[in-house]
Amino acid sequence: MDLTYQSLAMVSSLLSTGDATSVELTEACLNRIDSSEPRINAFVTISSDLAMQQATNADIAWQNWINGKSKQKPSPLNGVPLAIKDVICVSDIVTSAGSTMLKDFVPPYDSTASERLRDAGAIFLGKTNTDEFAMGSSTENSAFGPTHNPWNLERVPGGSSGGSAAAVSAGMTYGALGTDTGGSVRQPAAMCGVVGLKPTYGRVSRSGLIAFGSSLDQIGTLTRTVEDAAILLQTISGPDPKDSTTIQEQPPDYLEMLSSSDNLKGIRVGVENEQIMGSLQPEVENSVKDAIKMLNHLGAEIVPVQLPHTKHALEAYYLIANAEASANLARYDGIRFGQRCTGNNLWETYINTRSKGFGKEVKRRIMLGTYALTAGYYEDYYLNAQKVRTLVQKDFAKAFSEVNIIVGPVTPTTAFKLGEKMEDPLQMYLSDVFTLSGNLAGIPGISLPCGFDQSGLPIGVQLLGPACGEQQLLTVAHIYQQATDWHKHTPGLEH
Amino acid sequence: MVSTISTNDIVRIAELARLHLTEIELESFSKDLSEILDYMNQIDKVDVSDVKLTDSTLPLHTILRPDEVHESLPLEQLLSNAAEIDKECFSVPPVLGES
Repeated sequence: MDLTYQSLAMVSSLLSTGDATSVELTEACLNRIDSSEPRINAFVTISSDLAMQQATNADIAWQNWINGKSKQKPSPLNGVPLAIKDVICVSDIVTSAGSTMLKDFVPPYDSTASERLRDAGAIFLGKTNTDEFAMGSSTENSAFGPTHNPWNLERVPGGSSGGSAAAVSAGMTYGALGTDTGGSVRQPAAMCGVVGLKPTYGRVSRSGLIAFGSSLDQIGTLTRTVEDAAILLQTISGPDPKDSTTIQEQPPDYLEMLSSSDNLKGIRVGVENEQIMGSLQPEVENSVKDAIKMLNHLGAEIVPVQLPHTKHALEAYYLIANAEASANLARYDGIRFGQRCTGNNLWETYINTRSKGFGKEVKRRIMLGTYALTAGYYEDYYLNAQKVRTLVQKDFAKAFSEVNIIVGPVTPTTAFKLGEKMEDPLQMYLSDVFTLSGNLAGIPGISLPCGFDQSGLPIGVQLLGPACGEQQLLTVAHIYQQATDWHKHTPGLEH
Repeated sequence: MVSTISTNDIVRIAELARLHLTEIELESFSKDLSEILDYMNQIDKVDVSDVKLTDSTLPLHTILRPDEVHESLPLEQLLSNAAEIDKECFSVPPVLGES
């Protein structure tokens, strides 16, 4: 049996019965990384030694439970190899955020999400590639070279969590953490044919996450199945004293409802017709329509919804995200940590450090954000954007008073060619047009594989739920996935 | 709102953001920022009179923690990311006396 393309839930079950060991799984993943990584470049750092050491310990924990020496059943993640996006701190492993600025930064502590995975016994294969400071939609803005899409090496994997999406898609790992500020988990998931979950803002602690847009940033998961996403979310979510913006209520059991039904009777699914009929690649439009038909076939009632202000979400998003980014990235001044390029005086040290440490897109966004916060423009840009954000939130609140889930496309097109949009930032920004309203509203969303275009590139469908509605969102997504097999296709890189 | 950004504007913003732009960057950023802000100006079309602004999607309330002493991270580990150290201190360029 090829272990690498199994679901996380499946290998977790094999570990719990002693039918596979963590060392076997970890070696299988590292072998796949060895053979595919030169073509994909999904990782910035591969932590083989740590992974093998963790695997040995995880196997001891399973052995002790299987032979009755320990009464405490290990976590379902004990011994499961995972990868972590390189904007999420992992203690003692370089965390670069895809930037020259932090290329030598070794965090002295774990992010809360990494710590919870570590405590659960998960195996850390390494850190995955990302657009610099998560700013991008193609993973081409990494200081460590672009990641290639496993389905077509000439194409981008999406971004900014492109390394995580590609690693899951290529069978290098059973799951990965990503981050989603405007679609950076869901968009690459769609382009790589995997499941991408962006939880409610505040569901997962941001402690130890390198900040981009703090009111929008949320850690999410990339996996092969919805069930795998639920397993990971269960471990990483919940209140955290180190992040006062975490939701204080304990999260519900995301797994118990998953298999409670095999149909969607009683579920009202909202569809925004205007959005669907927009400027989508025809195959994307058809596949999303097919997915809606499938939800209907499974018993869901399809209801039209209006989200009149989401057509201005892109403007509001890029004004807010860049304004927050320009403030967050002010900390990289060469004084306390990160790269320092010394000048003749303090001013020159700041300028040299930042001009050499940041790449072009990061500079562009810092410039845009600084401009939007400048005296004279602050009211017109930043404050207006925050007011539009209120209207987007109200649109969703009204829609969710009538429906349980809203369904639509994740991306306007399938994966585009490497380099295609690098000289046209506005076109690049437009590839997030369907995902970023979810971040403005703080609501959860999931991207699911729902088809392929004529050249064999994956297509995703997005389900959005109300704030803290992950349990139902995951259940609906799981029922859809049980009735379809789009998520079972693999890019066949190993041949 | 203004729709085009002059080179002088770009130089001023770069200074505020503590960035030095090359001639090529200056030129391409003038073009990019003008195009992007032109698009962003569509936000003007939304009627936001009487709309409150949102700076967080969460209900905000102050969260207090017990004021307890915790162990700090080891000094050596903390200093390992410093660009320059002097004994047990971060060594930084002089700050006072700068204009």
